[in-house]
Amino acid sequence: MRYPRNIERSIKKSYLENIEMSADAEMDGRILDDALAAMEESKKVSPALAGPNIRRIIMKSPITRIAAAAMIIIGLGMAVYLIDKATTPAWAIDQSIEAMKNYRGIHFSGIISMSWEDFFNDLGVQDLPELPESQGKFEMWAQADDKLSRSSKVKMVLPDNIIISGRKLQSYMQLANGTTYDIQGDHMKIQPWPTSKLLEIMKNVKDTWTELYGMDADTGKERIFIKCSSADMNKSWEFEFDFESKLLVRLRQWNNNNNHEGLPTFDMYKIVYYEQLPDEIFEIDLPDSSKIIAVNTPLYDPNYGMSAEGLTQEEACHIILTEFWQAVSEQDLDKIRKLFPYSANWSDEVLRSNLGCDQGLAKLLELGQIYESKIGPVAPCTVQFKNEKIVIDMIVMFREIDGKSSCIVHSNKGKPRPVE
Amino acid sequence: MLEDKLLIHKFNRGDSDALRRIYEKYRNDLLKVAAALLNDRNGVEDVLHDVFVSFAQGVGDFQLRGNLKGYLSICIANRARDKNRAMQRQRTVGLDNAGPIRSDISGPSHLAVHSELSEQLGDAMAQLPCEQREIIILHLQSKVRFRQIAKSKGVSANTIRSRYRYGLNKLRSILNGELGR
Repeated sequence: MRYPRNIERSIKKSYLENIEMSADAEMDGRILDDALAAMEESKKVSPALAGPNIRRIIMKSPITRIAAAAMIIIGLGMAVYLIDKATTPAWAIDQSIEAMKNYRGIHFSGIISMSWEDFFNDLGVQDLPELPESQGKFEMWAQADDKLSRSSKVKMVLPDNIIISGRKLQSYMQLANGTTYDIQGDHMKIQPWPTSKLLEIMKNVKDTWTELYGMDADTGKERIFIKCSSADMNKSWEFEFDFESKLLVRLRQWNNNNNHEGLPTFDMYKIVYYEQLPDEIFEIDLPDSSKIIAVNTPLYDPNYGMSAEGLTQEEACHIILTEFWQAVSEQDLDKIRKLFPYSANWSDEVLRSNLGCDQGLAKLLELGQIYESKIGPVAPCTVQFKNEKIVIDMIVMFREIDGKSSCIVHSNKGKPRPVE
Repeated sequence: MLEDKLLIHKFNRGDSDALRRIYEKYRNDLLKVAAALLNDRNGVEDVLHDVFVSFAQGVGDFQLRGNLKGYLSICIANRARDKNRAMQRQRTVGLDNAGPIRSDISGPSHLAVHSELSEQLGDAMAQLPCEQREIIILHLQSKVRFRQIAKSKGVSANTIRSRYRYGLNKLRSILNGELGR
């Protein structure tokens, strides 16, 4: 007998798959009864079954709001019969704006048709490999800001497996080979937000407004079709609403064209609504730092950061993080920018807000055991804010510039968490 | 993944159906993990029971980091380790004789491992240090990422990756040794 070469496969196929397990109803009953009883007991002693704390404290990663609650999917049949508007009840765009205001998370499926070259050149992203410039399917998840005026987070999966993840201060664009562009600034966004702000704007272009009523042949659902354009914005749109739910079910937009000519720049043919999307959806799996290309940020500028000459990584981490939190505590914005170059182009207001300076003074209480990440060592920092202690895992990035070793505070890893 | 988020959200609001759904969704996978890790398979139900009761007690403020299946699988592994240690303490008279424990108790009737290679692999797995066995089972059976295992143990992902590799190498050498006899 020869032992198979691929031991992982053997373990899976010849061992794990052969462990035959089947829970019987009695076992299920015993376990579930006890688990449900334990749950009821816990509910009594912990009546405030609140969700996780929702606060914005630190840096570029806001604390997650885990509330992916209700979800509505509106499918779209392609065959539509137009019907006489006079035989249907009236619909007004305000009804749709009202119906959609509770849904801050949206997942779009669509087809994109635009030149990426110009788009990324504007961002300062140079030397990109060949990107799709014609049609292609894309998926996009977006979370609205509190005012429903624009996106606060966006993630797009584009043709050729290009992934874009954008937040207000920073975006990543990752190519299929893992190369990731780290783009500073407020570039990747949806503005105006398509289900409220955009529709509000639409109310002002009623002179170009065409409204048709129809019925989806597959589902029998009544639909409202709006066609409109804006000469000032040089854009044109087609909207399709579901009459019953009032929700927008399809959106087509022509950029640089107010006549609906040619292919739409975006054709979002499927829209799924969520009250809130989990933060994890917008995360991106970062590669080793060697595959990250910084754009619009002085990550590799020797004038930023701190010399790490003659220091061990651990010593350098301790020094730079102690100085960093001291600067936060003293609201020394220049020093914060120097040690934490991501913030170099942030306004004072944004910097204060994102570092929690407006939450009261921060004080570093303890540095935990350092562990490794792809970007560099990570030190868990226990920080006292006004009324609470939190732990923030801070990444320190080491650089070799002109043969000299230095380090910067790169970012926080994951989300801040309360001290248990 | 989104369904799990939704289930956790409902569970945290005290929805018993959400707990039931989580149990039904993952119990079979978790049973396999427990069976693969326990030296005495009679304890499989106990381990699953303890993990779900403990999970249920976290209602209201349970926060999911990583994926739910991975989290529960790691809980099963932790419980299985405790149970194995407890058994070892019961059996061990002198530490000089301590070593890897091999399962010498046949499992209940619904547990069965087939084929010669399966038995050899099972025996070889039982000879691995428990930390290596855990990582191999968690990674291959529950598809838990090294990063998530590392977080749960407070070590780096590279350490976990190394332990996984050492475990596979040791399995290879155990099996080759046996086959060479």
